[in-house]
Amino acid sequence: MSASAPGGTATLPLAGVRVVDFTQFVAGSHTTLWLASLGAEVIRIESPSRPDPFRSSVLKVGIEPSLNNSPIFVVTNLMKRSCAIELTEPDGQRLCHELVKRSDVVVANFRPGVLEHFNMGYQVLREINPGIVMATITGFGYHGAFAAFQAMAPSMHAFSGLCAATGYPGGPPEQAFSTYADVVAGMMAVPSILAALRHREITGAGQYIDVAMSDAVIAAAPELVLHAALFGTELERRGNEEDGFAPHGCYPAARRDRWIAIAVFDDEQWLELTRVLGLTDAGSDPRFTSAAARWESRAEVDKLVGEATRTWDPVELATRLQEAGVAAAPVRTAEDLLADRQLIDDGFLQPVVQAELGEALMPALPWRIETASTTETGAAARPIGPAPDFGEGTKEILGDVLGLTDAAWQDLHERGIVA
Amino acid sequence: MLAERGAQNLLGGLRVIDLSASLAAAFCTSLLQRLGARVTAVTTDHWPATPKTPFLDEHLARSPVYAEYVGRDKDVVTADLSSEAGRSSLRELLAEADVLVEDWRQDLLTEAGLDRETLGQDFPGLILASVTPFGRGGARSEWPASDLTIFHGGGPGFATPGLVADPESMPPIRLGSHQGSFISGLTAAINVCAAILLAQRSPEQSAIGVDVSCHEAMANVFRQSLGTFAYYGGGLNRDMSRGRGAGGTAEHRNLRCQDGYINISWSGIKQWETLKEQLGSPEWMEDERLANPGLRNRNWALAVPRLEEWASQYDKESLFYLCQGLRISCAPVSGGADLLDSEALSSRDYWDERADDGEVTRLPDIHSQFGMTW
Repeated sequence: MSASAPGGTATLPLAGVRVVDFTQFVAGSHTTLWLASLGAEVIRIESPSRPDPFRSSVLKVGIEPSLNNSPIFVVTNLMKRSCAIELTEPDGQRLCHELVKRSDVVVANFRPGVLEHFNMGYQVLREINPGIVMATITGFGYHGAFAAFQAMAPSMHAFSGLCAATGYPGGPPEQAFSTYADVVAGMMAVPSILAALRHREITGAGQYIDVAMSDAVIAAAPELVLHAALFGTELERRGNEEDGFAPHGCYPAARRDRWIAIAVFDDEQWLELTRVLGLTDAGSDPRFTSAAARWESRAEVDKLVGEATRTWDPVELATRLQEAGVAAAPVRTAEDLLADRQLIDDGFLQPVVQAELGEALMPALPWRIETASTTETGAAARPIGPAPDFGEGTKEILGDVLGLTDAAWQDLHERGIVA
Repeated sequence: MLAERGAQNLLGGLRVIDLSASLAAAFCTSLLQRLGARVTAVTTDHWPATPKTPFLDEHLARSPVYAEYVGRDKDVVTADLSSEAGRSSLRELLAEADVLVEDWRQDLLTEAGLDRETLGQDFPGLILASVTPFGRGGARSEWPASDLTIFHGGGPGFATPGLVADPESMPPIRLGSHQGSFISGLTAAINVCAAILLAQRSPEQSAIGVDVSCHEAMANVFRQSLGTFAYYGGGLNRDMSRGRGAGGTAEHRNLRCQDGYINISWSGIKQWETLKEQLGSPEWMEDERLANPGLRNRNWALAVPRLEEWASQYDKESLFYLCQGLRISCAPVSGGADLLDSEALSSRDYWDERADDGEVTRLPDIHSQFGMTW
């Protein structure tokens, strides 16, 4: 890592930082996506014999997988480079060691033991590069009683208490959407890595960071365990309810399966809601004149509000309520978000061209850091770019970073070490 | 085993002034504290009146369930910003600080002389971090919000739960535990750590400002759905009968067992074959309508009752060990007490144990474990 990032308006927090990325699927790949967005050069090490299964995942029916046409892979791996090296081969491992020697961060999400099998465990890598910051993201952690256990996001939602805390009142525990724990755990690794890099800037010391999806989801969704720890009680599932406040929920809008979320916390907001919805009688109804009264009568409140919202377009109603000081939002689908004017104007959604998929709006990462110089120039802060096709950067990376000659490349390529 | 644990004071020496009121911003500064920063929470009870922030549920950060979790180990000072003396004492704190985290309404910040322009001139080395529902720019910058509207407005709500029996009568719901707030706070912590690193590496940079939009934070966790829709469309139905929808596939549903619920990945090729062997190759598992993972999810109604019938012979702990022994991803649906007793967590020294009058309370500790040797 350079002693200081280059100056000027294009300065990114991780400019000059190189990351070796041994990740698959979502959790670790989301970590390195953040690092790439913040300016790091992220080199995905991809096995020619066992490519990331995500490269062939969630395709439209009838589309043949090519390794380069999976939208879910693309959106998780924007701005990275792909370097196809066979980790099962000693020469492949040596190439990776050389890359690690010239890098700042390693991120992996193999199950415990796999890295060691490939000679890429922390103990080996820190001998090669004592300043390396290495993060592993696994289901139950790299150490501990359950380290060897299988984990996928839905089972981590269950284990960590997220399912038990989620559901309709009186109903069974419900699931989160299928990649939630992956993304949360992937995000949790990022501040640790950034803090470790800052620590290394000062002390020169590297760091090993062990992120368990179980730990991460509990830390980010602690209400269930806090209830048990502090009050000795189990949290009841309550859908959209918030204790003590009504209306507080999702109400039907004009079109099929369209909804609006409305949250009222005081009498003034209640009066504004009834005014916008044309429920003026309800505004003065003694059953609803205080927060406590509305909470007691929440079934009636919800029925009343739900009947009134049915004729509204959710975006129009949310806008009217926001302007009146009431917290409200349309329940947005992926389609709605991709058409969200503010997300486009603010540069969160930007067009990206993938060779095999064409152009589409893709989400950048939700960070915005300005400095005196960027404020003056109005320079766009958040970069975005395509995800790499499989192995597209192998020869260039090994040439540029390791000085690999054409002859050496040819030999490695013919022996199936690189692709 | 790791020879050293804890956050190693990775942010040691940094001083953070926490002027926030919302759960999102309080979680952000809590994460910075757990990484080693010294965080001073400034309470401003005398002025302005609540709500100070666009978060209309700012009471959550002070609620009995969250106050200790997000407030632990922070210094607390009170500043009466209605008086010149109070404003002066806050400025003295800022003069010694590296980061200010705030989530106030813009008009109140300006009135208190805490707007970005003023602070940037007076304290050019201070990182100014703002956490608001829609960010400080754009048409919605003044709009109020709450955990509920942040969560549902940002995308994950439509996929929660992803599949329901009757989309007309079963509205989208929140994930438990105020995820609109916690995910926004985590996003803010990443932003602040990135700004700290930028300041460390580029000392010539001044007036570094961080502007976090909770709306963007939630859209980010929904990014796999955005990417898929952007290229292929789909993912807009919540109808359980189809077996695949906004939130995933039918396989992800929790299965009822003897003493609760368990989550088992049952539809994959290897998992299905392994389970078939475990169940003694019952006739129903040979049904052509369950011949591959896609069909199994579409025709989940044929499989789930049978699997639940099998699971009902076991308690969730036995099933957990049974399936893990078969190398099938699974986990029990834990309650709070289950987690406090969990061997998986205690074997990792996960808990932050606090003793008070001889009683020990376990709070979740930092999300990462650190070490330089093992």
